[in-house]
Amino acid sequence: MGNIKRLIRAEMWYLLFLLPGLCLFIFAVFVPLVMGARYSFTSWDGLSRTVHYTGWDNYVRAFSDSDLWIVLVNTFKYAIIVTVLVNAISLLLALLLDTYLKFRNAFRTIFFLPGVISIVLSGFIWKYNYAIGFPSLFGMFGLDISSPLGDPNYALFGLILIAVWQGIGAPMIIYIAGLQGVSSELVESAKIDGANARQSFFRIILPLIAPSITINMLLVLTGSLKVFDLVYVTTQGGPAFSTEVISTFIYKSSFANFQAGYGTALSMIFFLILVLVTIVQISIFRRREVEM
Amino acid sequence: MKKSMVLSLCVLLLALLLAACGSKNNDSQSSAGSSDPAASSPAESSAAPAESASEEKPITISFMHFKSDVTDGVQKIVDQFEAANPNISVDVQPVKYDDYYTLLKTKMAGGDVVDVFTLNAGAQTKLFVDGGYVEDLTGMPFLENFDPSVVAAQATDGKNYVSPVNATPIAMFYNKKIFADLGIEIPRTFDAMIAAGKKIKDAGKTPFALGWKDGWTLGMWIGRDLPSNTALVENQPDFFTKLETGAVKFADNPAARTMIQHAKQIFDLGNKDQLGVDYNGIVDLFAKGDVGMMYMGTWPLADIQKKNPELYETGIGYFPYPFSNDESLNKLEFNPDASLAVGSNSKNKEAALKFVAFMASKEGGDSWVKNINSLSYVKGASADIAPAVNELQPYFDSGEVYDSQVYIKTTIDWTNQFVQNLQKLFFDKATEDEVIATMDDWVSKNHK
Amino acid sequence: MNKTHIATFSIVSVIALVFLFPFYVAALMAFKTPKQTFDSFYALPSSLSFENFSLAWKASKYLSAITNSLVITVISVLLIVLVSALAGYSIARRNKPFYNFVFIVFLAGLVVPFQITMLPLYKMGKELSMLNSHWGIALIYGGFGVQMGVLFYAGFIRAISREIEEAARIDGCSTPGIFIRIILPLLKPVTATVLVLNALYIWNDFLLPLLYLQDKFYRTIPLQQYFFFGQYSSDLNLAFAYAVMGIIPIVGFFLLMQKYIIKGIAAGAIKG
Repeated sequence: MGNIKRLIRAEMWYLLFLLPGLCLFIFAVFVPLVMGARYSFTSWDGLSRTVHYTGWDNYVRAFSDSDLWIVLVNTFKYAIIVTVLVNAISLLLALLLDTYLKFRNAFRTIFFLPGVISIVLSGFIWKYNYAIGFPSLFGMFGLDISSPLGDPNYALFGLILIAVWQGIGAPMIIYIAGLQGVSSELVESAKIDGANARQSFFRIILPLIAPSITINMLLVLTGSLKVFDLVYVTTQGGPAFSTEVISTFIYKSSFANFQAGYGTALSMIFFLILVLVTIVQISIFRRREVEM
Repeated sequence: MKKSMVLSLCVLLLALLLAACGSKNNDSQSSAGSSDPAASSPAESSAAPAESASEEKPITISFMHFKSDVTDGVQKIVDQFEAANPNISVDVQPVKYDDYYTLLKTKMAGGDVVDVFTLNAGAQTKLFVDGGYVEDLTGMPFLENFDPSVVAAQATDGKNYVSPVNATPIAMFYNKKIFADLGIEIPRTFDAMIAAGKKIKDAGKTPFALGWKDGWTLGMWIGRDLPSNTALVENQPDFFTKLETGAVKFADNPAARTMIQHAKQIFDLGNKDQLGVDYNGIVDLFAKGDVGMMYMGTWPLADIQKKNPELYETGIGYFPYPFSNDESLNKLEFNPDASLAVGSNSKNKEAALKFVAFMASKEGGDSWVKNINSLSYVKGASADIAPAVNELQPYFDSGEVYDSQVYIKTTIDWTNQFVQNLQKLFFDKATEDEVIATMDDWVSKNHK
Repeated sequence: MNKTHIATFSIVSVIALVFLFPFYVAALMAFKTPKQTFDSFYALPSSLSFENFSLAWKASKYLSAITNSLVITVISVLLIVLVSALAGYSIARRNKPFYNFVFIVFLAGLVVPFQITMLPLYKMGKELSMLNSHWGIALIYGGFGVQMGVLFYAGFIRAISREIEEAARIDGCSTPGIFIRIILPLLKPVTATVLVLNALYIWNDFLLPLLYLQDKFYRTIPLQQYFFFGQYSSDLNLAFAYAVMGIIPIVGFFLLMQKYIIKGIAAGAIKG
């Protein structure tokens, strides 16, 4: 009997530990989400005081909206390229910095630095670099270049470059933390057993830092699928829709076109897509972690 | 059973948390107030309006505006008002134009009070009026300080919800030296302007400074070329009214084609990297003196003055944008800029109205001209803002002035959409027909 | 130093220079006048003038903005660390459906786009009078940050062996006791990570302060920055000066924390 009591008390502590976090979450994310979801069934324009319920109209409309598909393609193109590049480069840098290297703390700081400033600011700096800085820099060498942001064929890549520049820092820190958890004895003993650098990387290091990879992939992918500020301060979705992503599309529908109801319906669809992507990703990496 | 218990526990705790949040906040707010005397006085005044019967009681009104490019200038005008009304202080909140309406809308929908705010007369005003957020100003004595036609032009559904403030011509700046060197006359028709542009290009200079990286620069041009051609050349003044309901399409409007062709011609004669250089970039280019023409309002003048004073004083001219090939139609585009509205839920309406009245007075009007470098609508206010603008005086004197914006009576934001589609055309990603078809398709999705 | 080291060093150096270039431009802008920038974009300023900085300082209420940013960041980050360490512990040690469900909910919450919640959050803030207060916005950040925080803490605590805990439990130690005495000291490295990432996010966040802190007295650094950028042409050099002023404290913070992270992680690595 006393045993059960103690068990309940122990369980109670765990519940109590969970509660503050859960409540904050419910308050800041869940309740607003439910309120937002409600708007998605209305034809609210975002301003008027009366709200009309229109059922599933907004959702039906969204699926027949050809612009939505264009926008989704842009979004995924951007997010996948950014995720791959950011993870590859930050892992590479983490590996380089993990070896014996002069001034490695200074380098670490430098690579993290872009991630420290606000996107409003980096967007501004890069806009100026692209438009004036780079052309006049390359002009000194007789090269005639113009801003990628002004050409629909390159604008998205212009943004990806900024995102990579700014996005390296945090994943790199996580990779470094992961790599420092890899005991050097293990790598040394593999070396003694005749493993070359590539083998020890793929066979020993990579499996051991798998949790870091999971976290980084997850954070970078969902982060870049949600990209808003960067597009908003640099291209506003242009030129010729080439950088229009789902967030800016939602924003424009909600505010510029005065269709808050439709906008929230779009963001609910977006939310579902994100959940799907996350579940798929987690299950893939979980399985891989186990296999390794 | 267990699940529902967990759920109800959560709800209970959430309620507790919410209650706790509320009380915490009151604490922090009151402590913040007491530590900062400047912050506490407005809070007190708004919290206790019943006591403010005596005139000595200080009042704070909030004033949100979108002229954030001239924040300092607006602040100077406000300072002048505060000096004249020592018991009223104005909390000025400048917001960048791109975000202004979003923010204002969020505040209004959230039930927040903004005492005085800027609006663009027309579609934007109508939207806020329809939402019931704007005080009716019809018949207010300060409206008599404006020309009756101006007051009438800015009315919404026959009533005055906004008080006019300032206006700007939107026209072509030109580099006098380049024009003189190449023997170019001021073009009075569109074709003459393009011919002049080609001449400038052949001479190795840039004909047009475009700056179409920013959506608004191209949008501003589209939003004037198209309604001008629609209403005045094609005689469809109610085109945009019908567009709102779907009664007409861009395909039915030859002016849409004209505008697209104009855009392509101007784009081809633009500066290098037309969609990569922004507004600041082209003002720089123009100030350097290498560019023939720039379509713009008066706002870059102060900047040009700083960067190239010599050019500013004697080197720049200004001519009406010839949207058609009919000289008699090509009058000077003269548009309202900001107008002022009073929030219908304002608790300090009297003070708010005083503020609007000051802006409408001769003193306020002169102050706008002096501090903002733009023309005031107030009767008799000074009009001397820059040497280049004086070139437009004949058009004002002979009344050859028009406002293409009065034809745009729709809340559908078609300009931005057109901007993007034109950019496709510039890069051969769409044909003229495709642009028009896509636009019609998009508009049909946005009918009210 | 052998050949590989030299090669590595030069590769890393080149990448570093590329990374620093935009900062060089920002600093260049900050020290020059509009006229100088206009005349030549890359030329170094003729004299090292701090005029832009002093003008920006005067015009921007820098001190009040930085105080606000600091207070909000510190409160939010402390809240996040406390709350997510506790929740992360529960989730990591209780492998039961309910806890796993909560964990999934937190993860799902990470993907909720801000666009959905923006307007409701503002309405709630208004009704609960949370606008224009450091506490109000910190609670929202707490709710946002706890999701990622739990992910980090749960992951980290799962990797900690349970043996010591079980031994302590047999010795009669209660759950809070175990958490405070055994787990908490081990959490330093992950706490540093959570701290830094959240501090950066909160320090730089823009849209939420724009909605929540409309009163001048509560404006944060990015908000003030934004108002500077809003003045679009003539004050660009001032804006960059202000940007540089905004960068300095967060870079300083990062430099300080960086040492701590490395130390903490090294200690954690030995124990693990």
